[in-house]
Amino acid sequence: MAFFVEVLVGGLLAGVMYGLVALGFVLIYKASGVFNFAQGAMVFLGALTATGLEQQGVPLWLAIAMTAIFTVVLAILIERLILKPLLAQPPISLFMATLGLAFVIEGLAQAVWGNNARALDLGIPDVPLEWLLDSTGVGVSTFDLVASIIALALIGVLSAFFSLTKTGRALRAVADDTKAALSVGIPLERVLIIVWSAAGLVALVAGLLWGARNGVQYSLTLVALKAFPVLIIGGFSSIPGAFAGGLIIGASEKLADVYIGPMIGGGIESWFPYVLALLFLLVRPEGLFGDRIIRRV
Amino acid sequence: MDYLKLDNVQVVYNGMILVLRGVSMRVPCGKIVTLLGANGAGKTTTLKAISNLLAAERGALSGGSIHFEGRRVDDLGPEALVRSGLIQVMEGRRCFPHLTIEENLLTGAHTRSARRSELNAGLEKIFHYFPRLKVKRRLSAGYASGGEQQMCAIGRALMSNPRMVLLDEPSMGLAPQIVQEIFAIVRDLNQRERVTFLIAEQNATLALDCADFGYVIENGRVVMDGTAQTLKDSSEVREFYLGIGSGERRNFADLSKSHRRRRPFLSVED
Repeated sequence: MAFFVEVLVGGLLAGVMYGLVALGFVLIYKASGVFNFAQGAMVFLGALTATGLEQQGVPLWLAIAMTAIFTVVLAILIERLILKPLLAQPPISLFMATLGLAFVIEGLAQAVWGNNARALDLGIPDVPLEWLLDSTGVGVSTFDLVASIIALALIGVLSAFFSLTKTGRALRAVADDTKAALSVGIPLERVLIIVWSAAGLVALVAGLLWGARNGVQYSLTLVALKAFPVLIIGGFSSIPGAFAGGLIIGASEKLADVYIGPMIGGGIESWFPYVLALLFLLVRPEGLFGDRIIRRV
Repeated sequence: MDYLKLDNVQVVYNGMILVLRGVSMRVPCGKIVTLLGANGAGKTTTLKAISNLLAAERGALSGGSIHFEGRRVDDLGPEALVRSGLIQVMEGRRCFPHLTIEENLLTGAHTRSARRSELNAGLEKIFHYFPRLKVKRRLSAGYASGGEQQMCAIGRALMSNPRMVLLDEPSMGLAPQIVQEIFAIVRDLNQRERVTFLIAEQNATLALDCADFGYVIENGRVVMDGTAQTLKDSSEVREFYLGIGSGERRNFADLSKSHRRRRPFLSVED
């Protein structure tokens, strides 16, 4: 039993981290209706820039702050150079642009900071919580717990921002109907810059947490691939959905790997989430919490 | 005084398709002016040229000028125009489907830096004119009926405290009774709130009943203008837009020949 709980809790905590990556996708999807393929590259870029600066002798906190500012500058550049010229183009054009952007970011990041893997130490120990281990026999990593709390706080703040503030309302309006939003005087440029900055900052946090866990290296961009099933299950347009989807994916992949894996030769952790996502697509294509597709007849 | 003034406005889409070939018109302050024309005549494009929503559809002004309250506005973006009191209600209503009716209305006040109490007062005013919206305020706009969505779209525009509203095809896809109701409210708003309206409409009968003044547009050109009464009495408008013919049967070939009209050069200049 303790083992089951340990696997489950480990899975859920990993799931929160998946949710964090998915959150970046949701932000951009909510405000521009486009799937931002460059989100994974932004996760990589954030972690790489922060560690790169740290290696130059900048204290870690300052390096993170500088990276955060850089992320906002990047958002402004993306708006000016890519999003604005592509306004009024079909979504597929924008999607292709983000695909290109992903490679540009990955390339430039490695050109500037080099491509060797780096370790990142955020100062949070990755050891089981002793009191919990002693009292219940369940091992839960302190790092996982802290990372989950950070991720949860971000998700909470962003949900509140979207549903309660004037800017959040404007962002949802832009996502629903960009031209109508323009017609009522919502400043599209500012909205897009806000969204891409927020997505960049979420990517930075995700990059730091994943980087501290797995090392800062190119494979960080692949974390984004795990966000696909999370988004399909949680819904592309829902912040709490990203979180719920993350939990479902995290827990189910770990449990499946431990309990079903051995029956069919193991190693199912890497593809099980996609099977789950496929099943969801058949039953509930908008995801658990996504905007229902409203169609009047 | 000319409140809104278009002089020889030309619009091209995609840098090559000339849609408006020199439209000139005047909208006097505090009046309702209607813009009549068939599908594809250029009504919507004219409105979008004024509200500057053309850029979002790869269109651009290639000539002419637009003045609003004496100021040249054709280089202002939609946000700046809304701030200066000119807003468009787009064709097909275009409410934000996943926002509630109330949230939709509030987005209309985005350009205002109003306090919560002022916003509530604004909402109450909208609910006064459109009581149905108050009942449905918590409903996602996507689930509201067509009429309610049109009311929501007009209400949303009014939340910006406009002095002039461009209404594009308010009757589209709505039941005749609802259309009557909406036009009645437009008149009410015009009289009580002193909002100037420019209404593009295909339903000429309704539009001319509501408006003070009208323009007829064909193939991107203004071909006729006059007071609503003059237009209603004009034989050409009666035949082509009101569907009240002279009684005798006519051959389609003759019809299209007589249909080629031009407005006398510079008839609007006073």
